[in-house]
Amino acid sequence: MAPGRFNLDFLVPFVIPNNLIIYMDAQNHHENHVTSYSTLAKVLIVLLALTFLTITVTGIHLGPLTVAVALIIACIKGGIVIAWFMHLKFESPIFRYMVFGVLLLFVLIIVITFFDYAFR
Amino acid sequence: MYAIFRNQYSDNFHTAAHELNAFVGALNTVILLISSATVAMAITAVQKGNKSLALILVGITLSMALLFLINKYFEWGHKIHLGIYPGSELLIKLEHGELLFFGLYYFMTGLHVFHIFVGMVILSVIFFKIKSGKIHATDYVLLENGGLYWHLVDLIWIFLFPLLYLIT
Repeated sequence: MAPGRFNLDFLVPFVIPNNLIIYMDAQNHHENHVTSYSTLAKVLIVLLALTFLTITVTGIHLGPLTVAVALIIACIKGGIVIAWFMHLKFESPIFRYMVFGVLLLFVLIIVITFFDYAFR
Repeated sequence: MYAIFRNQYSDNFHTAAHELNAFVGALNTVILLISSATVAMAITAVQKGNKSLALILVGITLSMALLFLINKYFEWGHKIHLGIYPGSELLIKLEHGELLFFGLYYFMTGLHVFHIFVGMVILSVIFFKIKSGKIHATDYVLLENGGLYWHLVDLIWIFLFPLLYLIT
């Protein structure tokens, strides 16, 4: 990326608009976000609490609901890991959309597999 | 594949999942969550230039990974002792759905354990690079990427644990 584009002695292709370069540059500085120890410790405690919750809830016989509850809690835990441990919360929205897209693709693959099975 | 079989042989999956020790599974979940937190903290430590703390934290992550493997060793060892292992005579006599469950159990946890092995190699390399000063406050991309990989391994386990151990 050419942060000092205006001072360069060679041409930067015009296809990259100025505001995008400034935007990308801002993102580079944004990367240096430091998550404090206490935040990470709190996240860990929440994750452990959710693990305990999921074991307790699945211990009660809720029938078919059990799997749904277990999976919902797992999704919440996964979201927390992605947001804080993997720093997605502090990255640019582009990455958020990309992760969401991949998850959507994953769900689609499972749904399509079910369709394939249903019409056999 | 898990989803289809689970849908098809719901009852068998429930009986088979009873065989799995939810306590060992829960213990391994806790171990992996802690290891994930320590590797995230190691990034903070490197960013702040605290080398010795970063080394301790990556060290904790590595020992947690080892602990996970030891647990898994005893868990699989116990299953094999009971005669439940791929290709065993007992397994063939079981209901079709239970057979599928244990097949998926060994495949999914086995693949996960392989990822743990790879993660341990990556984290060991990172450990020595922090030690030699190649990873420092202004250049820690390798640590960040290693951390991301480790969180992914943790993430997979977060979903495997309820799907295999808690569906009783």
